[in-house]
Amino acid sequence: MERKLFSKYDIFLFAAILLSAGICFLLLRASGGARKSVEIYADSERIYEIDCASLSAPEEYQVNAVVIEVTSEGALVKSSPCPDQLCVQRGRLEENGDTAVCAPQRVVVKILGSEKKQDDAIVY
Amino acid sequence: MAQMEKNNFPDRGMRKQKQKQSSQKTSRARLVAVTGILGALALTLSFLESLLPAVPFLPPGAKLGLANIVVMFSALTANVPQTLAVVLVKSVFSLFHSGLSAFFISLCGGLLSAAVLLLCLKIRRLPVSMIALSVCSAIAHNIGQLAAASVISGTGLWGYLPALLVFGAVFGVVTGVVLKIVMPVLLKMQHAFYIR
Repeated sequence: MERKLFSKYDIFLFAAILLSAGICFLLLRASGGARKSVEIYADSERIYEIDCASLSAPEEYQVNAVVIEVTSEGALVKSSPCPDQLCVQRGRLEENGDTAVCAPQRVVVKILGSEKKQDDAIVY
Repeated sequence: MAQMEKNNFPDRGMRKQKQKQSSQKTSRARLVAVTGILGALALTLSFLESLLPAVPFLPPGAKLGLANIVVMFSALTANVPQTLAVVLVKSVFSLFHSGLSAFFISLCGGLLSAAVLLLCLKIRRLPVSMIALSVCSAIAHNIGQLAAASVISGTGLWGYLPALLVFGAVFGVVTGVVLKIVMPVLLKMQHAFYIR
């Protein structure tokens, strides 16, 4: 049976995928409150919820041997004993909805909400 | 990896002997043998893929999904149980390789992608192109994995969804093109596969 590589209907498929990805992205950014907070989950339970604005200096948390640094800007997985190190490679989490998962250690770090930046001045 | 293949070899030899005994096209031994080869191929491809260096602008953990080529090939040429068996072989390998949570995530992704794949093939009125087929199955694989990871971690991980959709589409195109190129070569060995 001969199957075509590309048909004209595929354009609709790609449009739908891009559209839904865009909508997901916007919904994700728009959701959450005006205060930025970091949530840390371990073994399916929320262990910490840290309000970013309340931090003056970076704090370190250790959950299931995973070291997480929380700052007023967001969070960062510093080290993990897992073999793949995907959570460490994820880097800084700063925007609303940013998530780092370490499946082997069953740890999730999530950013919720975003600081609404006030305009300094509006010039016409 | 090497050990698993070693274990497979005497087994496969026996299967080949059985194949010779009954020259019937629908013999069970032939089914098992072809499934074994496809499963081994899927494992080899996913191992080769893990050797590829990380590309800087890609999110960590994003993979090409070369093993999906094998799943698609078996969905196109073999029957439903055979396709599911290839998915299962892949997941069981990840159980040995990286643990129970990886097995669960891999199984959910594999099953959802196989389900979407087989469903697309069922609809004969719509001529689904190779790229559409592979993109749909890649995205279904991603969504299945994400759902499984969400269940395991106990929190919705939908922050990953936009990136997974986009990269599923991009890598789906790549695997679709590869399958389209490889397909005619493999189809020359028609005696080994049933072409639907």
